[in-house]
Formats: sequence, structure tokens, C-alpha cells
Amino acid sequence: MRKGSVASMIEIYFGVMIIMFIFVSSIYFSQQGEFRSNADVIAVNSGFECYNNLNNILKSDKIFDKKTSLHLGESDDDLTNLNKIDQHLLNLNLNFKLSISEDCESFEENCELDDSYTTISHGDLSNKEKVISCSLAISKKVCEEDCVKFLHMELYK
Amino acid sequence: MKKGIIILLYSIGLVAVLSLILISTYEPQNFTVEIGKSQKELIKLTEISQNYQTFVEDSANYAAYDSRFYSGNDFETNFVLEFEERMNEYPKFYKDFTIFEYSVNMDYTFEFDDETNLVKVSGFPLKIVDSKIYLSSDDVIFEGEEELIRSYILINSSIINFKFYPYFELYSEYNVANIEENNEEGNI
Repeated sequence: MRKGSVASMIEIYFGVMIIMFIFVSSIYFSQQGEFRSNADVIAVNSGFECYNNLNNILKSDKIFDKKTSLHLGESDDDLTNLNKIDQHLLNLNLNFKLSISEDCESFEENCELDDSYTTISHGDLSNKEKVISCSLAISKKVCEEDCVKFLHMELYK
Repeated sequence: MKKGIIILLYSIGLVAVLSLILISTYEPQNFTVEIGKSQKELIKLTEISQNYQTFVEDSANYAAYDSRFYSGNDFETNFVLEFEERMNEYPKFYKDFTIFEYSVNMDYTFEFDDETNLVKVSGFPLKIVDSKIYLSSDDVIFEGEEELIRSYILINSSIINFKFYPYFELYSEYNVANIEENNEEGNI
């Protein structure tokens, strides 16, 4: 056997041994390995309070002389109507904004209010953070361009 | 280059890659988990469904009011057109909105009372079942009429499917102009 071919055999031998070592150790470590992770758990506000308040307002016949949804659909005086709803909820220990607007493309995401909406505030909103907002639709009696408008609520805590 | 050197270089490369993987997975991974998203969507869908029911009732009332000058088929046509136009403006609130649009395919019933001039209008969700196909003895295909059944709207969201039954039932005046004319003639 020539001198060079012996050295080549030794290189092949070491190479094969290292590959074997890599395979065996990778199998071993894959079994022993622990994945570490840090998870920040955030509880999402369900929005039940917001939607429930809005639905109660729209179904109530105590605020106006008829069901609120019908009254809001018939009247264009949004500010007066919102103030009357505010008066009705005077004893409610809740901080919120209530708005009426004409536009909302989809309920899948939250409605984006444009500049033309009318809004009132209830309670002390200073130093409070908006926790959730929700919107529901009202059928308009006079249906020239749009047949629908929207009542929005933003809750602050 | 000798075969042994190639294998050695290959081995060193593998060791380097393996080391990189081990180092990268050693450090803890940080991520944020939001809990309650499903509950939020469920509440949103149920509450908006209630709002949809209110919207159905109010729209039906307005459509009936606007149709009060008509009677018979004219009342029915005017009512259905206006009601469905109003309902089509309700914003979509879940992904599979095509089924929701189908909700305006309602089964309407009209009961006119000529004595009181009040019409009872009701509407329920309607499902169109595929038309039945008959095969006669001489292999001629006959297509039957579409079968309509009262049904529900199936709301398909990403987390929940539920059945929803919007409906309305109302009493409204009809043929109002004729009544006023008759009253005026009577007064004369």
C-alpha cells in the first residue's frame, strides 16, 4: 500500500466518525432538548358590557315615548337625542362616550368614525383609558340616500 | 482534493450549522398570548344578531308605513322592494356574508282585512331547496317546481356556527288614500 493512500484512509475514517457523532448527538439532544419560552398572557376585553348597554338602549321604550331605535331612526336631532339618553343613564356608574354617525362599512372590524358624527360624554373621562368600543345599526325612517345610521359607544376605565 | 479532506470539511460545516441551531434555540423565545378572543367574537356575533332582529322589525315597520297608500299586489310589491333595499344596507358582520345576504329571501305573508283596512304582514327566513327532477318511463327529464321551506340563517364565523331566526310580524294600514277619499265623499 502506498503512503498517500494510508493517509487518505485515515481522513475518511475520521470524517465518517465525525458524521456518525453528529447524527447520534443530534438524535440524543433532540430527545433531551427543552424549548424555553416566555409568554405574556393578555386577557382580551370581551365587549359584552358595551354591546349589552347599546342593545338595552336601542330596545328600551322608557327613554323616549317609543322604542329608542324607532325614535332615533325618525329624528335627525342627534344631539338632543343623545343628551336624553345621557339623562336616562344618569345614575349609571359608567364612563363612556356615545355617538351617532352615518358611516360604517362593516361590523367585522370596529366602525371608523368620520368627522361628521355627533357625540356626548358621560362621567369623568380624564385620566381614563378607552377599553372597548362597539357600534350597532339603526334603520332610518326617511331613506333617501342611506337607510341606516349607527350608534357607537366607547367605554373608559 | 482528496476525498478525506472533502468529508472533513463537510463534517466541520455540519458541526457549525448544528451549533448555530443549538445556540439559537437556547435563548428563551418571547411571545404574547391573547386569551378571550373567541369569547369576544361570540359575544359580538350574538349581540349584533339581536341588533339585526331589531333592524328587521324597524325596517319592516317603515316599509309598511311607506306602502300604506297601496293595496293588494301593489302593497306587497312596494313593501318587499323597500324592505329588501333597507336590509341590504345592513353592514356585514362576519366573513361568509353571502349567506347573510340570502337572508333577505324571506317568506312574506300578507293578510288583508277589508273591514278594518289593516294588513297583517309577516316574514320568515326562506330556504330554496333544489328543484326536483323526475325521469319519466321514456327517459324524458321533467323538472319540477322549486320547493321552498321556512328555514334559518346559518352564521359561519371562524370560531362558531349558529342558527339565527330573524322574523317580523306587524299590522299596518293599507289603501289609506281611498279611505280618506271615501271619508271626504261621506262628509260631503
